[in-house]
Amino acid sequence: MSTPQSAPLAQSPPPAPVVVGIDLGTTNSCVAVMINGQVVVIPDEAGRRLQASAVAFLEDGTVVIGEEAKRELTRDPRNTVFSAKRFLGWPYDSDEAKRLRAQLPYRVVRGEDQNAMIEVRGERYALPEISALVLHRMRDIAERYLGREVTRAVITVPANFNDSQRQMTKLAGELAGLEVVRILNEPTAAALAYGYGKGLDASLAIYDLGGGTFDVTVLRASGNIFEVLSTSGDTYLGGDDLDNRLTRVLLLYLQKQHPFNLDAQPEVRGFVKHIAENMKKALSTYERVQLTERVKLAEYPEPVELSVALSRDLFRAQCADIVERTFKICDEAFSRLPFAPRDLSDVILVGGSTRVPLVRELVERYFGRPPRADIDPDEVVAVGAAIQGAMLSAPFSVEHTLSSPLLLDVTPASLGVVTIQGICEVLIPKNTPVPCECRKVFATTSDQQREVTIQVLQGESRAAAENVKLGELTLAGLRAAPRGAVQIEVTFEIDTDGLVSIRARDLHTGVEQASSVKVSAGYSEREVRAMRGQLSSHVRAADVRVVGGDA
Amino acid sequence: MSAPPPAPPPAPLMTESMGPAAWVAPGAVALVAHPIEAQRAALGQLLATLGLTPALATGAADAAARLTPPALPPLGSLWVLFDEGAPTLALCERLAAIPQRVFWGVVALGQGAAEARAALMAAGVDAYLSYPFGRDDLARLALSVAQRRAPVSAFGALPPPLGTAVDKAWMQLERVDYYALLELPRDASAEQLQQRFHQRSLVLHPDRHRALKAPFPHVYDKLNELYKRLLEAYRVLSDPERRLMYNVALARGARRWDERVELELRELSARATRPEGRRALLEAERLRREGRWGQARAAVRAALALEPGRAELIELDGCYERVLRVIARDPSCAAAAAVGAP
Repeated sequence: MSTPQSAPLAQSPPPAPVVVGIDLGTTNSCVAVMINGQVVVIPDEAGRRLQASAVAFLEDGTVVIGEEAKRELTRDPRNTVFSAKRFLGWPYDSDEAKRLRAQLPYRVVRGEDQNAMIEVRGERYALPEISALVLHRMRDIAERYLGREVTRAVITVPANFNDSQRQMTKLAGELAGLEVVRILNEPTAAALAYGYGKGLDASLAIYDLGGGTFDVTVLRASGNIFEVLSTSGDTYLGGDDLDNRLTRVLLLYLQKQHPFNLDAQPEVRGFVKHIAENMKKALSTYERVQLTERVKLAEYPEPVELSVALSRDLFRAQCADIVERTFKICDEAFSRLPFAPRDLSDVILVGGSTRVPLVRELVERYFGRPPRADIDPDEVVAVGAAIQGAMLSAPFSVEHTLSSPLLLDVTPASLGVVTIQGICEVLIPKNTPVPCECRKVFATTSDQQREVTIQVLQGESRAAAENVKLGELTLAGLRAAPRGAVQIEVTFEIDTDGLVSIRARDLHTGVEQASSVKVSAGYSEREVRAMRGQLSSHVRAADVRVVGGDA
Repeated sequence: MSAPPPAPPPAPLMTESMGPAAWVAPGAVALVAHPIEAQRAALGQLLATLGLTPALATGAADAAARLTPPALPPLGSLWVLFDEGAPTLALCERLAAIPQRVFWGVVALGQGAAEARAALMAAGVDAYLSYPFGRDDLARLALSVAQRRAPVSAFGALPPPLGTAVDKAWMQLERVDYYALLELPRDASAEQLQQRFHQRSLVLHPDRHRALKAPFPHVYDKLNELYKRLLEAYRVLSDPERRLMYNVALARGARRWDERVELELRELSARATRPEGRRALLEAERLRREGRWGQARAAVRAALALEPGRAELIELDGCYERVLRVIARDPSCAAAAAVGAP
């Protein structure tokens, strides 16, 4: 075979470039790497293993990222961006974005195409830019520790992230100068971290209750193979719901002790919510919490005293139903499986809200066994990402295939197309193992039609409008023919990165019409270029601060 | 194509990324079998512009004669294009008898009738191009066929035993059923299935071959394609109900899972309400397709025993009974009866 590229791969063995694992969290981020078969969680110059996912824009133009930015949270909340991940993928006018805008102190504005943007000190930032700054900081920490350039990473996302949210995360990585080797689901990463090197033959559940979302993932570990069997989730269920419930209770107390008009002073709710959150956390350590706090109310000349005692029993009475809702979702995950929750070998907890004793207790009751308590929920996800990174960077060899772990993952959401009357027709249902593809034949619907437009959706609703629109594919330049005579076979493919691509082929001529249309992150090329330009100046500013500032 | 874009660029094509030599071996011969002389000549010219040396045959018989061993051109240098209209069956047989790797590609040309196309593809033709087409269409198709044809073991990208195994699997991909693909017996247990799939995954999963993506995209694509088919087989066979349906489809001559078959069989098995009953009905359908009417009826009766009064099942049992009576009189009817509805 006379081919120019037939040089064997073995002739040029490049030093395997390191792939780090980054847990890009809503609140905190963490970076880990695998060195000689051991995973190391990388500390920053001050020895901290976690970084706040926060970016502060100081008055003098410097940008501070991570733990240093946390200090600015109280000092200058309007110019300190945190929890930006929660906006990712939500259009500016969506209910979720509206709710978040009301909660967060920094300014969120409408960008192009409904994208939410963050405005700080007169400049606008797209969400991937903020994430890129955090990732840049994590990359910097890794480079400093390893003493070499880091250009590749596995980044984790919540299991319920849709394709466009994943694309945005990938874009953020690219903006931070990282090749994103894989977007990995957080619960799956946790399972990898837990099962790696143990030679398990077991079925595991990962119960992931975060601040705003809940996910459950069931997987089978047999030796080096981790096969995801089922995953389900709710994007509107999390620790926040517990806080809101407690806030309601505290407000009732306050009303009883000092009657006031809540509607006239909405800021009281925010203040009381802060108290509720602290009480919830305290209840993780103590059986009973007593608290006295001064609250400013318009009806009274002096701040009034709110005095509450809260026990775990009362907390349970108030909040058990919220935790119970997670088990409905677990039931859904198990409905597709040939075994019951009690047949599992282990339950692993991930997410800050799983520290709540009530959650642990009810999880134990549901699964019939105590959850694993020996895993650090803050680091486990980054560790799993590092394991996956090492696996993806190793060159192929038969020996390697037998010793290195392999992850068999599934799609987190259904993929479909819009058909007549705005109905979403599912082509690839959720929980389908990847890589997978689905072929569908589209025909022209009118005579001499020269174009067919296909809208691609992701989501579980039958109504197209309620799902996330991933993109639109227009097949142009069709043959002129009577309606129905031109048939286009469209192949939808989801690869092992969970990314969707679309190919179209004219069935009559066998010629591929559009070779490969990647679904975009919802930003035009021009917008992405602008992000690159804006970031490069800030990243320099951030570098200066991190190198010189605290030293 | 009848509707060309405004100004198709004549030269660059996709050969920019992969020069002509990558898919047209130096001195490659393109054998064209076409009954009409003018068409033959036109095709010859078209092929010459793509860097192939045309050899013109007057029809399938002539082409087949040129494909007898002593006259066979050297490995990897031959293209065969032929018109669907010519008596093609002999040519297809001839092609099937020649070791696969001699060819760079076999492309059938024709009017685009679905049946002709399906028959040719089943006979081992790589691609089908319907009239009218332009140089670009032919070149594009030739490139994709060349990439499919090029054996991965020739690139040195995979260790030798694996490379050869992939080539072998690839060549049979469209001709084997899921059991053969996984090299499992039809009665393999769920554990055996999972074990075999995991074994194959360890070696063939695309994540294992990420390093090939940039230097050898077509090798990576092939592995990806192969793995997708393995996964498809595993998904169907690991779901007990789907596996039963697939077995019915197999008995009907299909090799791959098809959603239309699923819909049809779900309708059929819905005559029973209990899962065991539905499974029994699927078994009956498979047995019937294999001509084993006696056993098929026993399965239907088993479903009926689960819910004795059910009218749909009584009716079905009646059908089977009538067919059995006919077969008892004339056993030669069994095969014919297996094809239609009960």
